Amino acid sequence: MSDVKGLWQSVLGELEVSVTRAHFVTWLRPTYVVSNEDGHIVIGVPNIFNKQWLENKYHGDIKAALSKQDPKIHTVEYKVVGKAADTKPSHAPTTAHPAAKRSEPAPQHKSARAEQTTLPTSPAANNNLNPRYTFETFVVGSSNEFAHAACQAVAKSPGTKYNPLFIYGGVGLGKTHLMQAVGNEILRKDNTKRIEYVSIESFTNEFIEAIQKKKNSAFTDKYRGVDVLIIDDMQFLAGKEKTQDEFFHTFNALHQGNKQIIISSDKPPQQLLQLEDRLRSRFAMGITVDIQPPDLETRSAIIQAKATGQGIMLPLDVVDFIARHAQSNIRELEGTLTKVLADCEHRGGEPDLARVQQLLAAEVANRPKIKPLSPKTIIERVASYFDLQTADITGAKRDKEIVVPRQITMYLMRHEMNLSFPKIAAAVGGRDHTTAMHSVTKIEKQIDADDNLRSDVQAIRERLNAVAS
Amino acid sequence: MRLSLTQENLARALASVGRVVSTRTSLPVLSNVLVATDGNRLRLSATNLEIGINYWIGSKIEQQGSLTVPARLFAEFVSSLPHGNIELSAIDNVLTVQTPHYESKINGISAEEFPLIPTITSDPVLSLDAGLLRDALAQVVVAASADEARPVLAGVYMYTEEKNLFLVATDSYRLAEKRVELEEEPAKGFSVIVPARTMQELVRLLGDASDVVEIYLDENQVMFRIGDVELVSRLIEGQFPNYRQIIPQKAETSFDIDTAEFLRITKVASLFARESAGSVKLEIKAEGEVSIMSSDSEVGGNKSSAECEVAGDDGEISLNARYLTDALSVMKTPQVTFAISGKLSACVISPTGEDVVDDYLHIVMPLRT
Repeated sequence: MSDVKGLWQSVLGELEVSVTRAHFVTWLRPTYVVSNEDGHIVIGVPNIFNKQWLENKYHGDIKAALSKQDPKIHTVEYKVVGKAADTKPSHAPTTAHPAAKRSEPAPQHKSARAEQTTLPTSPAANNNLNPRYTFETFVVGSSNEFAHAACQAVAKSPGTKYNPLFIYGGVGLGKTHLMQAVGNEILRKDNTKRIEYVSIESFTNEFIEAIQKKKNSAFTDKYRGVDVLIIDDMQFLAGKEKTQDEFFHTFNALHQGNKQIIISSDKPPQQLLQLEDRLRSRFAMGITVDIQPPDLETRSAIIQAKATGQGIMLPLDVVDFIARHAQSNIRELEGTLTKVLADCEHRGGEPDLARVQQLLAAEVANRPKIKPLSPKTIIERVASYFDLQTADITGAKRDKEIVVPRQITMYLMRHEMNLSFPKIAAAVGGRDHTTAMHSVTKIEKQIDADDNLRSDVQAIRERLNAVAS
Repeated sequence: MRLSLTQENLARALASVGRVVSTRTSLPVLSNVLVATDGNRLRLSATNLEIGINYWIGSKIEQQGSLTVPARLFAEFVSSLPHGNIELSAIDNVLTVQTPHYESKINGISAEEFPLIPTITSDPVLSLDAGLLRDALAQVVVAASADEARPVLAGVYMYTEEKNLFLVATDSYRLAEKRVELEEEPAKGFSVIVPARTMQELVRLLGDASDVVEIYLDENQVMFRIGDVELVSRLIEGQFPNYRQIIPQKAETSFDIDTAEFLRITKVASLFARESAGSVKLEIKAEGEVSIMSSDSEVGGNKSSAECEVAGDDGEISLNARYLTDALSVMKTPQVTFAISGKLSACVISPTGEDVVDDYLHIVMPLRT
């Protein structure tokens, strides 16, 4: 976008010398590029008069200047874009507008005794939702289908079905996308609904500002008057006690009014240990869903969806290669894909496997060397995760604090390395292979039912991958 | 260009058109009015790039042509002339205005420099009686915000619902909603926010017109056509607050009162409320009396009372007197109902009486004392 901006700046620069200053200031300066796709450039203008003027008087010059800068541009369109803040409309004589004179500022600051109360009219439009995040653009796979289903249920009947909806999972797996999709879907059905999407960090900052400026009630009105509150990255509320307090009351007010609350975090509520108990227990009141890293099929589907979205068909072997290449999260996947597509555009022609391999080879070489996973690393990682010694895992103690990590160790050896049970047993302190079998089955059984266990295992897996890849 | 027309017609047209010219602009032509022949009529146009007006007047055209001249000077000069015929002629961007006893030359700017005022060619989305729309708008536009900080509040929300046209405005301290019953349900419903300044201009243009006003919509713009006048304006983008949920449904205390009487005691009380920025206190006695009190440490104090018919318990509320007088001034019925629910909840003023249609309400938020 920045080079498009630069392009328009140079076009304006060229036109500035050929028209009078007054014309430039009135007609050209308040314009900007809205989009530039496939040589079709859309110029945003502040009003219809501007649009007609550009179309009738400057169109030829503008087009010539644009093509000079970028020969690919073949059509120019002007679009009225309401952007009141940028354009200062010239005002009619004040005699025509007694309203402007009539209205002295609202009296609340003048009088120490009386304060004007206000109607709750906060606009629904300014809700921070990104309209691109919809259910249609979300690729569903086995790793996220439950979360997706829960979100759709919430979008269908906000405030009644699952309240709060708590989504957790690692970075770049689509939590924000899903949450915003719920917001956008609700708005699509009923655009009078007031929806507020905010990261917990902005929430905290606004709260602090409200306290400093003594505008507490405005803050309270804003967040307690919404129909749907979507809070991102809840884990960052840790350690902010005053904000936790405020959030607690906001949560209660909304929940009692049957207003939908949607929260995301990197951990399930039970593990947000730095939050107060009363908050954690409330978060778990509705439904808690997790998003796992996408498997190979989902990754392939995402790549294809994104590529198709940009009008490019990728060969299957290329899709497969990229999906295998970028494993850890969807952001990395997008980054890799963008790189491949940019390369194609730059050099022209269709992407083929050889070129993509070559392109990504450098990246692979720059990565930390892939260290093959060893039983020893798994033991070390598990031990450090649970604050134990490696000797504890391999040792003979049977305290619960040690037994579970030991079982997890064996489970991971089985699932991440595909080790045989006798080998697992041998690696973990020379046990009997039936012990290993029992441990692995036990974790396999519990992992679906126990959120804590699942998130522990997931966290350790991520650490393993961080070392391994 | 050469033509002749009557002073009355030209003066009236210039008075309307001249109001939308731009005074503070870097582009001088925007302070001008475009004078152009259009078939056998004369067209006057002006714009401030937010609103544009096209005004056609019947005249005797002898030679086609066009140019722009400073709106203010031209309007003042024409309105000072005696009634009768005026001849206009233009040569080389100089407009000559001639009557038997007056002759002026006004230096203008070429019509080429003047922006085109767009008209909308699609079918009107609605047409209704001009007087009806004028009265309805006048009751609503008073509550719009004069502050552009929240653009949607600086507009009048206009939408159709079944056989009704709704007009709503709020500055977040008060809100006015008017329902206009239409003769038939519009073929295509719509919902737009029109700048309050456009609506104020429209109210003036509608004046005592007895015509029909037609409303046209296009992407980002609206056009009102009243006979030979077209008013074009941008629309405000954004979403109007979901105001219906704000309207109180029940009242703890309410009273019916003579509108003029209520307005009188409010105005009297406001004289003593200047220090407190308009703060007055209403006390309602269940026996049937409302009192308005105000005090000013320098000037003194006042208590004015009026009889009324009370439903519910005693009650009291503090309000900004200006909001109350604004609301009462636009009431059309001899009697109004005033309803409150506690000191800090919105109070509702609505028309009342026999055979009165329940089509208007005005909400005022109280002062916290």
